[in-house]
Order: sequence, then C-alpha cells, then structure tokens
Amino acid sequence: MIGAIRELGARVTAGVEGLGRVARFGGHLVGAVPRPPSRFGFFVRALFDAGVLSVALICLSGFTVGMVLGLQLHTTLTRFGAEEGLGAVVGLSLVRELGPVLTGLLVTGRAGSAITAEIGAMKSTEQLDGLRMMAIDPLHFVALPRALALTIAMPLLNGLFIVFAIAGAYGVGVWRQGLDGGVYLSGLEDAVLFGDDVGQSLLKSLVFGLLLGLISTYKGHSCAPDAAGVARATTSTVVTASVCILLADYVITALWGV
Amino acid sequence: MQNHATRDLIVGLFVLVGLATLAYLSLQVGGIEFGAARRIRLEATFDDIGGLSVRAPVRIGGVKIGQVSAIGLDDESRPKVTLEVDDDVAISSDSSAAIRTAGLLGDQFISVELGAEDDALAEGEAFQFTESAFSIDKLVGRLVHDAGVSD
Amino acid sequence: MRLAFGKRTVFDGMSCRMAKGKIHLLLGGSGTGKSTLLRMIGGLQRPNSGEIRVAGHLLSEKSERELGEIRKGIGMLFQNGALLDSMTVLENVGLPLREHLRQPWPEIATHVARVLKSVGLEGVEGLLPRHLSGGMLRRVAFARAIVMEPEILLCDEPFSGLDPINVSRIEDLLVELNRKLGLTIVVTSHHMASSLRMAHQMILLRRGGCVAGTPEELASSSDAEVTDFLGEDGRSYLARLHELRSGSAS
Repeated sequence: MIGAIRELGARVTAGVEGLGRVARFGGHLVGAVPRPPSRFGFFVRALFDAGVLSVALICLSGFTVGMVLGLQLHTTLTRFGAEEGLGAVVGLSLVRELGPVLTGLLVTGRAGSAITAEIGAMKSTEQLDGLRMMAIDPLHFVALPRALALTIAMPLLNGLFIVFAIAGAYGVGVWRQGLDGGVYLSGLEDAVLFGDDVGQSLLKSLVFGLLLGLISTYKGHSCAPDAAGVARATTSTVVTASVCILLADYVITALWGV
Repeated sequence: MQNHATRDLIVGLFVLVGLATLAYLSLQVGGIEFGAARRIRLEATFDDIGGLSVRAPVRIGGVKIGQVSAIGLDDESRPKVTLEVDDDVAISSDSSAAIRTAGLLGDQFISVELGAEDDALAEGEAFQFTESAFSIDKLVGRLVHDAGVSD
Repeated sequence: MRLAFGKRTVFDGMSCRMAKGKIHLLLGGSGTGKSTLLRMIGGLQRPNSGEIRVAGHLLSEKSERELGEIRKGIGMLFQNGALLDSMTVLENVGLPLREHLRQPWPEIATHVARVLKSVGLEGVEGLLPRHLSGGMLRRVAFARAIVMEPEILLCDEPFSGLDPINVSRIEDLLVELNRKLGLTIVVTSHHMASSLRMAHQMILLRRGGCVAGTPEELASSSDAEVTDFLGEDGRSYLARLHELRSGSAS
C-alpha cells in the first residue's frame, strides 16, 4: 500500500518535472526567435517538409471526410425533412471542429513524427553535438525552423482541409443526393460567421501547430540517443501531441463559448 | 543554405494557396465585412420569445437581412431582443416583428412585416408592434387541459 | 591545460595536464572513458564534480553560450563524422564559415575546396554524406573540424575503420598541422603504430585514474597494467622508435 502511494508520488513528481523541462525548452525556443542569424532558408525547407509534403494527404482526407459527412448528414436530415440544413451542419462542424482537429491529428502523424525521428536520429549520430562543437545552437539551428514551420503550416493546411471537405460534401449532396447547389452554399454561408466560426478555427489550428511544433522538437531533442530511443520518442510525439490537441480543442471551445 | 529555386517556388505556391483557402473561408463563407459597420441595431420587446436564440436570422418575406445579436430582459422584466440589420434596408417605423418557426419543428427566426409609414426606424429604436412566439407546448398543454375539464 | 575529475563512475579522482602545442594520445580499453574525456574537454559533458580547464577557462562554470565562444577555438572530429546528413559536403564544411564569419557562398566554396584538397578530396562538394564512403566521410568531417583553424583539435578514433593509405594520410595531416600551426591535438585511438609514431605524450586511462608520460617513458614503465596494454608489439615498436629518434638526434 505504502509502496503504491510512493509509486504514485514518484510518477506525479516525474510528470511535473517533465512539464517543467518542456516549459524551459519552450522558453528557450521562444527566446531563440529574434536571435540572429536568420534561418529563413531552413525555415523554408522545414515548411516544405511539414507543409507541402502534407498537402496531398490533407486534400484527400478533407475530400473524403466531406463526402462521408454529405452522405451521413443528408440521410439523417432527410428523416426530419431538413435536408436544406446540410450546408449549415457541414459548414459549422467542419470549420469549428473537424477541420482543425483532423488536420492537427493528420499533421501529427505525417510531419510531427517525422520531425521527432529526424532530430532523434541527428542526436543519436552526434550531429547535434557536432553543431554544438561548431558553436551553433542546435535549438536555433534545428528545432526553431521546424517548430515555426509547423505553426505556420497548420492554419494553411486547415484551410485546405475545410475547402476540400466542403467540396466533397457538395459533390455528394448535390450530384448524388439531388440537393440544390444554391441551397447548400447559401445555407453554408448563412450559418458560418467569420468572428465566431472561422476565427475560432484559425485560433485552434494555430494553437495546435504551436503545440505540435513544441512537442515534436522537444521529444526529438530529449530522446535517448539510440534506435530504440528514437522509436519511443516518435511514438511518444504522436500520442502526446494527439492528446494535447484534443484537450486544447476542448479548452478553446469551452472558453470561446459555443 | 544554398539556392533551391524550385523548392522555394513550391513553398511559395503552398503558402499562397493556403492563404487563398483561408481568404475564401473568411470572406465568402464567413462573410467578413471591411470598413465601417453597415448594420444598425433595433430593439423589440415580446411577451414570450419561445426558443429564439442569439444568431437567429431576421427576415423580410424570407430574405435574410440580419440576425439576433442579444437577448435579455427590459426594465419591466419583459423579454427584449436586440437585432442587427443591414442599414440599407428601410424598415418603416410602424413595422412589426414576429417570432416564427421554420417548418413545424425548425429553428425560430424573426420575421419583419413592413408597415406603411415613410420614415424608417433608426439605430437603437424599437419596434412598436410585436408578435410573440407561437408555442406548440402551450397549445398542446391547453388542449390537454381543456380535454380534462370537458370530461 | 589541466583536467581534474572528482567522483564519477568512469573517472574517480583522476587528474592530468595536456601541454599546449603537443600531440596527446589517449589510450585505454573500451569503457575507460576516452570518448567521454574528449567530450568533456569540448564541454559537451560536464563532470559530476571536479574541474576542467581549457586554455585557462573553467568549463564547468560556463553557460552554453560562453562555451560556444570557447568552442570556436576547438575543432572536434567525431567517431562517425557527425556530418549533417541533409546538407551537402560544401554546406557541411562551409557551415562554420557561414555561421561565424558570415562569408558569402562563392568565397566559402573556394575556401572549402582548398581545405578538402588538403585532406585529399576533390569534386565532392555537391554530394550528400550518404553518398560518401567511410574513409571519405571521415576526411570530410576532418575538413570541417579544421576549417575554422582552431587552436585545439580533438579527434575521437580518427583511424578506426580506415585503410592504411587513409590512416597515414590523416596521420601526416595531424603531424603537419601540429608542426606548422602549433595545434594542440588530442587523439583517442586503438591504432597503436601510427598513434605512437606521432604522439608527444601518452595518457593511459584505467580504472580510477591515469598514467601519463612520453611514449618512451611508458615503454620503459614497469607498471604491469601499462605493459599489458601496450603488449609485446607496442613495446618493441616503441623501443625501435626510441632508437630511431636518438639515432637521428645524434
């Protein structure tokens, strides 16, 4: 019994310590933003890896999610004689929740894990120590451009996801189920407002991008320098970032007000 | 980093396309408006607003002209609804506001029936005539009650 | 330069000095902490207690940023090269020039080509590290370690896994750098023959401390552990070397 309590205490302490380390890492990262030299070239490369290479996945997923929404919601709404509401329901659910959350989870799997694996591999092959010996801060050189790229890429990918999903739902609702295209679009445009919905969507995706950028680079930098350590860190990034994104989603939704 | 022209171009395109989707969502779907607010605020007091909620549309003959921006009680504790409507729609001062339901179970909205006066309602003014929500609960309740009495 | 370590599992109460402008050879079986000692001199690892001084700086008191300033005068050759695998050879070797001297790329390219040539490489600037053989990789890493013309060069196993031609090429380079530029060089190595040939001082790490001395001193040492480590070959080689040196001196 006492052993179990001690175990619990040790876990809590370890958790708090871990949080402290992440916070310190984040502080260093933010502190490194204005420091010269500019890493614009590396930022562009990181944006390519995190953003451009995720475009196909995001567009395809968005379109598929939109088609499923169109099919499911149209069937359900027809039972209440409210199929004109398809545009509103699709638009609100996509812009407020599905867009930012699904984009966040997809980018976590596609780009966040890759960033952790890359930094972890760099650490285990002493590339980070090599940088330090050249008097180059690995945080500034490796982590910062990638974390920034994720933060910038996330809202852009979110926009792509939502637009493709709206198109997917349009395709199914209008061409397959015979809903009027104008009714769908005007319902969508009536229901979705910039201040309440699009703004919330943008805020969420920015926060998710920031969280993922922080978590994926931290996990890479703090992983055990061997193959098993890199594997653990990569898994840990996906798990931690997914949970954090879902939690942050709830917090933002609750604070923003529905 | 050395020159990587093609990659830079693709990244630039990515950013532009991403921004374009966000612009579409903000401007077209979200209906963001630039410049001075082109809406005026009107008030209407009802006996019963039923299930009317904030953001419910305001319509004239089915055409949307604005939305409900706030719901509260006035000094005499009667339900007071604040409406935001486009200022290019002239709503004559003897118009009436009614709470209606789209379909049998649909969302509630405010329908404005235009009056005949020449001067229009201005910012902050109130509707003189209002019609409360038609409540299906009350109707059913009365029917059941009446049925009980007549038995 | 003085090194002192307090209680640690690898080193316990060991202390040694490495003189400026000499080639120092760190010897010891695996697990005796050769690489760790090298990393500590570079400030990459801190001792649990005790102090390390490099050129008068007490490393354990320095922040990471202050260490950066000290490291500009230190080149380090890692065992596996530690080249950045997403960057070309030119970008790798030119990186410190770009970062610290803010040179433009064309200038960097000529500088890098010159340094690469000194390690016997030409026309590899556009290749990525994964396209290079082990020997080329080591030499590129070597070029990166010396491109900033450091005063101290730390080499972790520079000869392991190399063919004899590359071994002697790197060995010649080390000796030349030491002779011409007065570089202080610290080398860890298993490669007895070449290491012994060039070393001014040898430091044998062992459990709990170290034995230091010139190659000749160690060869004539009666310490059982030292003779065991050097083995028959090492001692006879040293003896021959000693004869050669005293012969050329007279």
